[in-house]
Amino acid sequence: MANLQSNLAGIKSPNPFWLASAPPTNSGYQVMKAFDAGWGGAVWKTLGVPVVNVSSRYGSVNYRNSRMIGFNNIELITDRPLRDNLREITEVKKRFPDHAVIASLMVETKEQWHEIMRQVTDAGADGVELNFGCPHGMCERGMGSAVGQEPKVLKTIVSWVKEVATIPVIVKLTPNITDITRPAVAAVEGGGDAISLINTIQSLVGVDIDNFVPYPVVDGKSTNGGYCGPAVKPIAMNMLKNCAQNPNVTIPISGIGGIENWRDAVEFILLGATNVQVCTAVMHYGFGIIRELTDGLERYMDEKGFQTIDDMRGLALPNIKHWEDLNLKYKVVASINPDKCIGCQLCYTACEDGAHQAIGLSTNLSDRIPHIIEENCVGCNLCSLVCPVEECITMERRDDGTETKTWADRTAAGNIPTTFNDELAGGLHHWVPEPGDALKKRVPRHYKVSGE
Amino acid sequence: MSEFLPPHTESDFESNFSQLKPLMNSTEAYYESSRCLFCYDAPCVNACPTGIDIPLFIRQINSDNIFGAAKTIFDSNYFGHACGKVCPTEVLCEGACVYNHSDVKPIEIGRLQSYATAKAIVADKLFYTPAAKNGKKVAVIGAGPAGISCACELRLHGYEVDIFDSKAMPSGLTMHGVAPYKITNEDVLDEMAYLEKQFGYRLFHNTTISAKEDIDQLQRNYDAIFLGIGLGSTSELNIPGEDLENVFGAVEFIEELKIHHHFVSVPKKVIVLGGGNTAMDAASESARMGAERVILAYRRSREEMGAYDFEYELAKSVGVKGMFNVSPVEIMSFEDSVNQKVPFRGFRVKQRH
Repeated sequence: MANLQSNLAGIKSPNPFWLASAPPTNSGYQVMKAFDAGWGGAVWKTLGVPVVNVSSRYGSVNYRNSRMIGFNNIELITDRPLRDNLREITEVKKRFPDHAVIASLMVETKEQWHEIMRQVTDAGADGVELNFGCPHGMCERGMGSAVGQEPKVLKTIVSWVKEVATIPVIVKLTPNITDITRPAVAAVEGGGDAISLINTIQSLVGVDIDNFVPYPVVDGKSTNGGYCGPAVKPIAMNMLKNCAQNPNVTIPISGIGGIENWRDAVEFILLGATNVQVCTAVMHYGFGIIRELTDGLERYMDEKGFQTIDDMRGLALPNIKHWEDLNLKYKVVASINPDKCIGCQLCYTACEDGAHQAIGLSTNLSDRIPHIIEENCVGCNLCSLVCPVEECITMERRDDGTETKTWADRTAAGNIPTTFNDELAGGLHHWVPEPGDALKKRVPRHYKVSGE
Repeated sequence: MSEFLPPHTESDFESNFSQLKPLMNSTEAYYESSRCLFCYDAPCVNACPTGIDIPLFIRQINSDNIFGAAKTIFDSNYFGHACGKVCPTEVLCEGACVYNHSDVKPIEIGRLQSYATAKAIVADKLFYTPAAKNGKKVAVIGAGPAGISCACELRLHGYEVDIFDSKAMPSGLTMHGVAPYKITNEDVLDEMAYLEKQFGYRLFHNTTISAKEDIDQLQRNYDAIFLGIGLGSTSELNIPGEDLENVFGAVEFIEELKIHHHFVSVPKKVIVLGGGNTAMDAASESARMGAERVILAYRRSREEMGAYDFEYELAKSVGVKGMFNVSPVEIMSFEDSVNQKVPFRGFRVKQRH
């Protein structure tokens, strides 16, 4: 049986699933409920000088019939007095001594950092997370992402905290920066014990096109929020990879950003996360999703023979290269399984209009199954991505796997295009139709034809 | 005890004839439209006799451009609303939906179509205005789908159009011949009023054009005449007893039902002769009017019936029993035990071998 126990810089929890610092961790009530449901840890809603919030705080991006594939908020840190939060932290720890309770912190002065560190440590927190990520509201006051965007300031504050810290210090990073590894390295230099990423991405999720105001609307006005949810996962994973591959980021990473199911969590761990934090999925579906998260992770680890989380951590990292190190001799082409094809022809129109004109239709209109024109196929995958039928379009390897030649190899050999009309251009001998052929193409009768 | 009690009020009638394709609400329309794949050269369009750009209007619904969707539909089919409800979509657009090939429920195109058009009709969103008069006049005989559609098209080209119809209300079979569980009279008439308002043709009801003199007069007064007269009454069986009381043609029976609703009295036992879609309607309707026993007698086999499978299934679902390979020889009347004349007590059939 796989052991799901997690240890992030000395902070132990029964499993690697923590609630991220956010509305689901606003109170002891919620955290206890989450622990009771099976969550391994919780990063408390950020503590500091309590704020005053606006009403109307969240907005979402819906895609077709999927709700909240992206989510943003303009809520600030806790609006509850510190003493109430601390009392509840103590109560939760008393009831759940083996679960991880991390106090997220955001204050301004050195004195405040020292004072709040002492208080949360006394309350029994297992660690702290410094919120250098919040990209709305708090950053206007010089906190949150305003710190995360200034590696020197970040390093200074981390070192202030470390002056008094007796529990592990996690530094939470903002993605609203060109190179996430710079604040990550600054966190290491300041003495941080771990980093967590990503916090939310500055965003506007939509505009009310009748009243010309973005969402969420606060009395006819709006402001940028912080974006999260499934839509940000690819961005989060890339930033995680950047940190995990950086030799100067020598401290463990807590992965955050759009994690909703066990597969997401596995992906983050394979990219180097020691544990993961979840928020939006809980705000959407409640604490109950933990049942699926732990079951799926455990099943996966058992199937793969991983005893511990550490056994699998970072396994995808060696396979992430620079583009120039990818094998140019690798060749795949699309293959359509006619038995599975339902004739929607999305692959045809995607390839015809959006790629390389490598899919043809039968001249017999009643035969709706498209065919691959293999000599035109560059193996881009697009058709297989738009195909609505599982396993109908597959990409098949055509090279024999014996040859490897990368851009770096070719550069070293002086075998790369260097002039505008270079004979070495990759697409030089690739067939493309004549421009005028576009106007001779048969199109469905209901498509509007110009000039008609 | 039959499944349906004879309706005594309009509300009984509505309940017995509840809509097979009820109007979607916006949530349902949004979810359903989300499923559309937006096929290239979509088979649903090719299967639609009026060639509606179905993927486009579904995408318009999905992006909350409902009036745009309605316009897309009406551009191809002025009876867009009625057709959404009445068309045998199972064998047309929805039957052609590629989802059928992966055993996924096809998109409910008909209901989405009605959803969009109903929104436009209820909001009185007008899309069309007649062109400036071109000085020509056309007479249209028959205010059914063909006649009305012809009139709409002609008005867009500046013709003046007068439509003559023998009935008191427009839309032909849509109102008078389509089963009540497919569309309500109100729905039909709302769309008719909506079209009339936009296209400004003139409708002359209760005006039968039957004599040569009528045609002569039209020819004198109009530049062209369009005949949109439909198929007319039920074909005759040419067997003895056909003229007995309580023996009706299905088209006439359905029309009676459509106009008089619960005031129509249907006896306890009904035999419907025929295997087409109209026969299925007549049988279903008899059952929904409270007939306890409804038999559908068809002269050939089940497989040879002209009706769509789903129409027969629908009839069976309300208790209609099929009887195959029998053709009527004579319809007879009997005197029953209390000496009361009960016409059409039975009929002789010839078994097919």
